[in-house]
Amino acid sequence: MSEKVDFLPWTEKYRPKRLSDIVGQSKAIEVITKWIADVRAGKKVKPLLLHGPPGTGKTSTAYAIARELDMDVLEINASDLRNRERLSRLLESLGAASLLSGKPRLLLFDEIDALPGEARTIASIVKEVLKKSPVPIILTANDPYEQGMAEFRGLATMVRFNRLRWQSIYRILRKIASEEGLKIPDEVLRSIARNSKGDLRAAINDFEGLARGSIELVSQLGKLFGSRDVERNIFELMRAVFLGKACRATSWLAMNVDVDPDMLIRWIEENVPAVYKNPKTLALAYEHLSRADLFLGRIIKTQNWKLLSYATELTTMGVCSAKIVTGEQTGYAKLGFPAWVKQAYTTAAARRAVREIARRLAAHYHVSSKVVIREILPVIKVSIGDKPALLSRFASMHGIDPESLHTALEFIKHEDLRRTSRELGG
Amino acid sequence: MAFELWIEKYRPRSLDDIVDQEEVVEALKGFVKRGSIPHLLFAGPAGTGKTTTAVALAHEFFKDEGSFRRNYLELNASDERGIDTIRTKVKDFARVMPFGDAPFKIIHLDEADSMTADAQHALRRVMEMYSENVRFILACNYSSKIIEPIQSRTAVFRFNPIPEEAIKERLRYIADNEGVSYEEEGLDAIVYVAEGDLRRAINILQTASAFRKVVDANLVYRVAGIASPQEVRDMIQLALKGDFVKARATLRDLMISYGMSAEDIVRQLHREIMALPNLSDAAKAELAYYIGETDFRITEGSHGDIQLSALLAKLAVVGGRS
Repeated sequence: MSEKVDFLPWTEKYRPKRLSDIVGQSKAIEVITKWIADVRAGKKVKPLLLHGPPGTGKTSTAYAIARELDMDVLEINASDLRNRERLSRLLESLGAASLLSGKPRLLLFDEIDALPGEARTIASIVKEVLKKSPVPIILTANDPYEQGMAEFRGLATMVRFNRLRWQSIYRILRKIASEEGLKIPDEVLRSIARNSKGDLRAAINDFEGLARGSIELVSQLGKLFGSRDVERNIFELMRAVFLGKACRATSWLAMNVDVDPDMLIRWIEENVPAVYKNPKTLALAYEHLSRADLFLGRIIKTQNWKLLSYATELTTMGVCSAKIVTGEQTGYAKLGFPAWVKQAYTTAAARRAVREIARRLAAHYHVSSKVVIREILPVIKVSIGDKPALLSRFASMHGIDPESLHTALEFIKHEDLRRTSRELGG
Repeated sequence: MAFELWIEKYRPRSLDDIVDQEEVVEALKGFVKRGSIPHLLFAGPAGTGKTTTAVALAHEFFKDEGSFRRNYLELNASDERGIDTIRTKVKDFARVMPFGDAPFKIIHLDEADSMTADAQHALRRVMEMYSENVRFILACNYSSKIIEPIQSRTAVFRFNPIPEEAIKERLRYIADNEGVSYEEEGLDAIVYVAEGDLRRAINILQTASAFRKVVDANLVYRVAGIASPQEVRDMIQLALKGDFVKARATLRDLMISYGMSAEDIVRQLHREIMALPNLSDAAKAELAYYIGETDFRITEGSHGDIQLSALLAKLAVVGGRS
């Protein structure tokens, strides 16, 4: 584990600080600007209810508003709601300036619809505060038209946040790339932007995962290897590895082909069995790939990029020399695009849904995400997978988007479950 | 009625309710009586009550829900992004004095043995830094994977696999309570596949009973385990026959579409290969080495599927010889 200072997730690092940094919400900003002017003028204002899909800038906007007003944010979270004593103390101190900064404060209830059980409590707090002290209040929610939210709709000024257009997201990603000093092909950024479905936070998370070398890197980059030059180069390299005898030269060639190490091993691995028909050659080639992968793993763990040349040599020279060891004659074979990459890419969204839900439920059930995926999602799937009402109730109880819970449950295939339900007709 | 997971519904809430780890519970009650605990290390297989015990123990010190929520923090080492995240979370939590009249806070770090030795050394420093305010409960499957300096600073408690009879009794209690009918063989089958893991046993019971009113052995074998052993078996046979391309395609399907981890697959592969009737012991011994090496390389390496494909390629060589 490297001890870098740069540990902030990019979603935090690049969180917009000012209202003018909020992208793609001009209508909302118009309403908000007027609201801010009213607060400044000392008028009595209704609370703001910022609502819209995830990753459109609601929470960031709330903090930007506070900054605009030169106020501190007092955020009331779920556990505060459960502790009446602390809550009333908090609320009593509300009128006074913050002890730390001396600034007046603004009250924020984030994601009020994540806690349907607490909606009534929040509403009554809001009303109480409105009655007592002229503190500005901001609420955020994903869907203000869900049940339990009606009270807020009457209480607050509704400000809608829209999904971002992919072009806006693309521009932000490009800016992050340049600030991080990363050279990423435009197609990659465009594809991430399109994939995010208007969720900027998801896009930045994907991008960070990609840049930090996760599986998604492989999948996303792979899809985008339409970039002609690289593809031509990689096919040339593969021909040299699989057909040629100048094995040492293939590793030099590889260093000159500008291809990501993860992708290089994927391309070679995909095509090994297409060319090497002798099981011994195949096993030997794979032994080299396996060792190459060990180095790739160590590089990720230690960030020691000097190890990369060993991985590259094993991937190219090693695989090339396997046929020389066994004396296998190789001939023309149809070389293809790495199937793993394609498969991983097309399922990326669903797998992300599974992971996110697993993380949520893991905390609740006192287990790891692994156990959620292995044991708990199957229980949920067979128990309520086909009962929309129960499913969405379960989802809202756990603060999960019902749609992505549905996607996740669809995705976890379970051969036994499928077969069993087919046979049992249930 | 809202959907509820039985593992939660039937989780023992207090130390007194925990029936299957008497020695551990007795010792812990001693600590409770004295009003303090040292750092603790809970070692034992999955589903033997480590987390349940930790939560119940914390409830002994933090009586009401508010106090519990503010003084108890649960982290899972295999889910956190590394020691830096753990350190940050621990620091944020430990920096604030115990809430109310609680004598200390408790941090429960699960799957501590999934941390590298370096990370554990860092953890040890964190433990010392905050030991005034905080007690740690570390949980792991194997205490041998926990570095000595941590072991020596903790009171180690071993959780034994829950006896088959006790698991069966618990299953019977839940089934009766939930109005689930079962055949004796059905419960036996659950006990068999759960291998002493009570949580898994209960999850299987709930999954099976969602399918059909009567839980029988046949049904249990079908719903147990995320991968059907049949798929893994097919993959092995394909590889042994020399059809590497199909074997690899099956592998990828298991991993990408079924979401199985490389670790899960290598474990299943091991179990299945050792049980193969038409493979010589000599070949099995050779494969045991390759499987073990693959297991190791999966943790060390970067692409688990490539490591497993390499193993399948070796299977093809061994299969071609016999």
